[in-house]
Formats: sequence, structure tokens, C-alpha cells
Amino acid sequence: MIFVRAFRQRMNRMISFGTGLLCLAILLTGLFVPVCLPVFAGSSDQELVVGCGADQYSKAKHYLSFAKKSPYVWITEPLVYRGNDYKPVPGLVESWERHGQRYTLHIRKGVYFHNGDALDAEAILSSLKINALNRSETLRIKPESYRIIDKYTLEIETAHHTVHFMGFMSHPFVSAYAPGTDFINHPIGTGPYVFSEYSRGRYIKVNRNETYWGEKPLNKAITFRFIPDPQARLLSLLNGECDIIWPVDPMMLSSLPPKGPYKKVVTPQKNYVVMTVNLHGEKPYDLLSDLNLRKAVGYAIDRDLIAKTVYNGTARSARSILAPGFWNQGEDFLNGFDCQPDLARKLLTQAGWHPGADGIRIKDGRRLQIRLVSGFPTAAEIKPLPELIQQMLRKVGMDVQVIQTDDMGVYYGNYMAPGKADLFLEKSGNTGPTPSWLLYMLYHSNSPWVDSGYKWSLPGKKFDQAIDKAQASTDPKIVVEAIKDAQRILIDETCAVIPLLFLSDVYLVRPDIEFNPETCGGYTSFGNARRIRNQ
Amino acid sequence: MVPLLIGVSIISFGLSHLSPGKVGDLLLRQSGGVTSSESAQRFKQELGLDKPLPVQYLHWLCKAIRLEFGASFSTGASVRQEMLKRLPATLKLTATAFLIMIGLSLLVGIPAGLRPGGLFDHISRLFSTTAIALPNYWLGMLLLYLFGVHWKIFSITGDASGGRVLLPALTLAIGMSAVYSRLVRERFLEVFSQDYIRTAQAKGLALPAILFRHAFKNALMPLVSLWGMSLGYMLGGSLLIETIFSWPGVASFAVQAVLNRDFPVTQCYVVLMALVFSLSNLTVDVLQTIADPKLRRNMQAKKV
Repeated sequence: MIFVRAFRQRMNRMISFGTGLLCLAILLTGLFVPVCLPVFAGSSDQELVVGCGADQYSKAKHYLSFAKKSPYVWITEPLVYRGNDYKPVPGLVESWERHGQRYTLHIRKGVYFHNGDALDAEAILSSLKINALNRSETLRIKPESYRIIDKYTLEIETAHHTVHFMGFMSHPFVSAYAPGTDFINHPIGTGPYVFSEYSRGRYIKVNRNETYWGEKPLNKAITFRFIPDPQARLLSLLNGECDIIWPVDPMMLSSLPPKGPYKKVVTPQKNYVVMTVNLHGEKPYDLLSDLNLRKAVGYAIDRDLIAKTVYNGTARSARSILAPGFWNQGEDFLNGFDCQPDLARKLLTQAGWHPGADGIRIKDGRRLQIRLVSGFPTAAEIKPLPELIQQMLRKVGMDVQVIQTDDMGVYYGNYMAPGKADLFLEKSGNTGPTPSWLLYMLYHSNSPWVDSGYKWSLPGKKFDQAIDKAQASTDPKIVVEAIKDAQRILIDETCAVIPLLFLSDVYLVRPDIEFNPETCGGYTSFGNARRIRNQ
Repeated sequence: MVPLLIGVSIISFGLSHLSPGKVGDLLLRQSGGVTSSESAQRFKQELGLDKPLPVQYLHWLCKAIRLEFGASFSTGASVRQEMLKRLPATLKLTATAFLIMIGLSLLVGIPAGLRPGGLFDHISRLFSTTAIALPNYWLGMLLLYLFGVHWKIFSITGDASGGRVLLPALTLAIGMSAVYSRLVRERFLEVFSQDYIRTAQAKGLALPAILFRHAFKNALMPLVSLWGMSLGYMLGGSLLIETIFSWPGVASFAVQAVLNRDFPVTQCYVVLMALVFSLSNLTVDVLQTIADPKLRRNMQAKKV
């Protein structure tokens, strides 16, 4: 009996040990031998799957999200389009005339909504009233000014004094909706794609508009899948569930395998990363009121190194805040800041700051410590720039306290509005059609955003005058010269802004996909994405 | 429970409104508008956010009693519908993770407790240490890579149906099961050193009989209340998992609501979680009373 029990126990132990070894062997084999089981079907020949970020669509009336929010699905179209130099080109509005602040719009004939209704002046009028729900002050059309002249002619008056009003109409949110339809749940437009299905937080599907008045998309249908986590989005491309993924941030680029089933598609640089400076701060955030210190910050940063190491060549160092291709302004008119750490040190010494025992400069017993807050739109999108900037500034003797927040309320409410930092790190792009729009919104003393916190960085009257001149002139040469003056004041003279980088939009696509994203003056359309056969 | 829910709702209401940033401005910025202070202020008035906080709270409370939680500021949809749509996915994830957690902790803890110092005991200790040390996010990514890319047996972009819950549930459960496996081991070690177990062995009872008839109840009773609390933590802590696996649950929706200052959603979420947490603790307490005769006797004695 005892022997039987001992034998049974021994057998149990051997079985357990053997089972464990077998499991280990299977695991190790599985790790090194990829098993491809056809569990899910990929997209068909003419249908694409695009993996994008979190779902930003909304059923709130003021969002108009299917037109306004990324990904732009092009169910609706703006009234005019935007050329790659950001100037308005005819679209649904074929031509226009300007009389002061009144505009006469001539609607294109032969265009139909997806439900078969014809596009006419009534439809445009109804659409402009829908757009007014957004409460945005982009158009500022006077409600009493709408006047239908004939079936295809409409008159409106804007409260804007800028002569570049038509450029505002090129923003995707100024879209044409079929009158009397449900623009919130089932938008019906004139665009190259027709709404098919939307599942919140999961996907939106659109089909090609076979009767589109313009150039039809190459693909038959697109499904945009919302994949909030960047790494999960990357994995969905690698395993073939997505044909294209976007957006692609620096952390995703750095975790790409050296060889894999993907290729990078990069747009010309149009977005920027800058540091906005607190020029008029109160103690202890008053250090950068000294121009020498601001310049020192600018010269201490090695932009080329950041572009190469963090952005893998998809960014380049910037001297200005507006992309050089914008209205063909170039960048040579600005000195900007090259990487000259010795000059930075010299400027700091001249300002009376001398290195202390730990290398951080001191003046009259006060340490040279500044606060950098990252960032806009979120800290996650700009990582790891704050840490790199911190290291670079430390080398010239500046101690930088970095605060990172993904919460816009905290960014503006806790830091920017009360001026409780010295530098604000921001990534954005000029989505306005005119070169003066961004500069006006951020740095003009009459901007509606002044109270948000940009008041601490206002360059002053000379800058305001340059922007006003740009907004008032119809002559492109005068506009460009005025914008150049404004940027010289902003960057070279006052250093209210320290430009860092121009960024491209990066898309990762499967090797069998052909795609050129730069088609709509800055607003991505996937219409020319297609699968190449025999790949 | 009702006073608890009211107290929780008051605290969360107050804290939400204390969060920084101008609400009207933030909400309109999210919609992509170029807004002035005046339009932001008008928008705030339309949403009723300019009224005094007690008035806003009472207004919310009167609606909440009727299970009306208003419309989300961000999505515009009914908060109740959004929550009801997402809740099953979160509950499915949590329930599956809960079962995996219990199963794994028993599977690893019991053999380790029965043979302390043996090979399995060492392996279980290695498993526990590793699983506790691994960050959830990293583990999730690793599993996603292995099963989604390397072996291609898991869909990264799928929905909440079918077996797709296994991987996120495993990620959620592993860390906690590592902790509980050690606790299970200790409990079984303690129970098996008791006289009544020795008596049962001396009587010639087989190991399964000893385990199920004598050891389980005594060893696991103290752990039942801990497991009940874990259920609540799992519900709240599933945010990372929902984000990594694109799981359409409540947690990720709620965190976005916090960032967007979407007060109706935040309020509903907090009250819902408080309710679920309370119910799970209540259930655990009831189960313990039913299962443990000593507790039943004490309660009867108190009544007398």
C-alpha cells in the first residue's frame, strides 16, 4: 500500500514536470516560429481601412463634427477649396466678387447632394445658418445680410475687415449640407464620399460618391477605425488590419522595426513647434523679460539634433512660425536662432549671470531657474522635447523645471492664463487660410484669445500694426511683406516666440498601398489612396 | 447605500467644478471654434453652468432620481444611453478578468501551498514576482504583439464580441492574480497545518476530498471579501486596458469626459461606480454570512 502510494506520488510529480516542460517548449517554439492563421479577412481590393486616433465626433449641434473633426471624411465639402499655397480656389462657389465687406457668391451649377437635391443658393444659405450654430467667430456673417439674388447667386456681409474672407470659407467646417436633412446623425453633402455607417468609438464607413462633380476617389470605400493608443495603432498596421495609420508621433517612429510591412509617407512641413515666451511675467516668472536671456534660450537649442533623433528626419529646424511655402514667403528674411551654445553662454554672462558651484548660473543670489510647461495640444504629442530642451539649457547654465500636462484646462487655467511659467511649448499649424490669421489670433492685442494667456507674450504695437496692414491689403506683395515684418518683430526683435521645428504629417502605409496625402491645402483626403496589384 | 451615493455625488460634483480652466471656453475650443470670451460665456449660460453650484447640483439630483443624467457636453448624446451602451462591455471585461484572476490565483497558489519549497512553489514565486513587477501597459502591448501580430490570432481593431475579451481580461487579471496566489498559498499552508486536516489525512481521505470538504472554505473565506473589493478596483482600473485594446467600455469614456470637463458624464460615472462598488461589497458580505457558520452564529447571537 505504501509502495503503491509512493509510486503514485512519483508518477504525479513526473507528469507535472513533463507537462511543464511541454508548455515551455510550445511557448518557446511559438515565440520563434510565427504562426499565421487566417482569422480575419483584410480589406478588399478597392476598400481601405485607415487606423486613426480617438473618436472626436459628436452629436452636439455646435460641433458639426463630420465636417470639422479629424479624420476628414469628405462627406461634405467647403464652399471653396484651398490650394497648396493656402489661397482659395473655386469649389462649390465658382466665383465671387467683393464690395468692401459684402460678398457676392456665384454657386456652381450641376452639383447635386447625395440625396439627389440640387445645390443652389437656398442650400448654401441654409448651410451657412447651420454653420452659425458652431458659435465660431471665423466667418462673422451678419445674419440680416443674407440675400438671394437668383437661384445660383447669394450675397452676404461679414463683420470681418480682412480682405481674405474667402479664404475662411475654405475651412472644411464651412460646408454645404442638404437642406432639411439630419446633419448631426446622417450628414448629406456634395462631397466625394457618401456616409454609410458610424459606430461611436469604433469606426466610420464612407462609400465613394459615384456621381461626384469633381475628381472621383480611386478607392470604393474607406473605413476609419478609431484606435486611441498609438502603439496599438502601429500594431494594427503591422498585422494587416489597417492599410494606413495616422497620426504617427515620434514615439511611434522610434518603435518601428527596422524592416517591416510598412512604408513612410511624409507631407511637406507645415506644422510647427515653438516656445511662447512670458515677456511680461511677475516674479518669479519674470526672468525672460530680459531680451538677452530670451536670446540665450534660443541659441542654446540644437534643433537639427532634435529633428534627426526624435523625428527621424520628418522634421527640420525652423526660423519662423509660418511654413515657408505659405504664400511662398520663404524663411530667409529671418535670422532666427542657430545652435550656438557659446553665444548663449556669452549672452548670459553679459546679463550678469555667472555659473554657480553646480553649473547653474546665479545673479544677486538668485538661481537662473525657469519653468517650461508642455504643452499644446497635449504633452504626449510633444514628448520627449521638454526633456531634451531641459538638458540643452542646463549645458549653458539654466535650470529648467518641466511641467507636462495633457489637460488643456490645466495648461490654460493653471499656467498660461495666470502667467505661471516662463516658456510654453506648443505644437500646432496654421489652419487659417491667410498668413495673418495665426499671428493675429495668438499675438495681436485685440485677439479673442488674449485672455487665455497669450497676453503675457504680446510683442506690442509695432507687431499689431504690421498684422493690421496685412489684413487690410488686397495686394499679395504687401500682405507678404507685412507678415514678414510681423515675424521679424515677433522672433528676431522681441523673441516673444522661439521657433523650434517644422513638422511633417507622417503616415504609415502598407507596402501595397499608394498614397499621396497632400491634396487639399493642408486637409488630408484619402481619395487618391489605392491598393497596387501584384504586391 | 442611498446616503453613500448622495455623499459621493456631492463630492464629485464639487471637485469637478473646481477643476481648472474656463469651462465654456474649453468646450467650445474642443468643437474647433474660434471663440471670444462673450460667446464662451453665452454658451456657459445655455448649459446652465453659470448658476450657483448648489442650484446646479439640486437640478442634477432631481433628474438623477428619475435616472436622467442629461446630455454629454462633448458627444451631445444622452449620458444614460452612452453609459448603457458601454457598460456591458466593461462588465464583460471585468467579470472575465475576475474569473481569470480567481482561477489563476487558485491554480498557482494551491499547489504551491500544498508543497512548500517544491519546484512548483519556486515557479509560482517567480510568476508572482514577475507578474507584479510588470507594468500593465507593457504587458498588454506584449500580449497584443504576440497574439495580434506574431501569431495573428487576435484582432486588434475588433469589437467587444466573442472571445476577444480574453486578452484584455488576462492583462487586467495577471497582476492581481499574482498577489492573490501568494495569499492563497499562505492560507492553504496555514490550513493544512491544522489538526482537523491531519485528522482527515489520518482517516485516509483522498487529497481532493480533503481540499473540497475541509480546506477550501476555511482557507478562502478571508479572501472572499478581498476579491469583492478587487472587483471594484478592476472596474475603475480598466482604463489603460480599454485604451490599449480599443475596448468600447465605460472607463475610457469617463476619463475623456474628465479631460473635456464633460460634467454630466463624470457625475454619472462616479455614481455608477459607487453603486457597483457598494453592490459588490454587499454581495460579498452576504455570501460570507451564508458560507461561514461562525458569522451566522454571531449575528444570531447579536439579534438575541
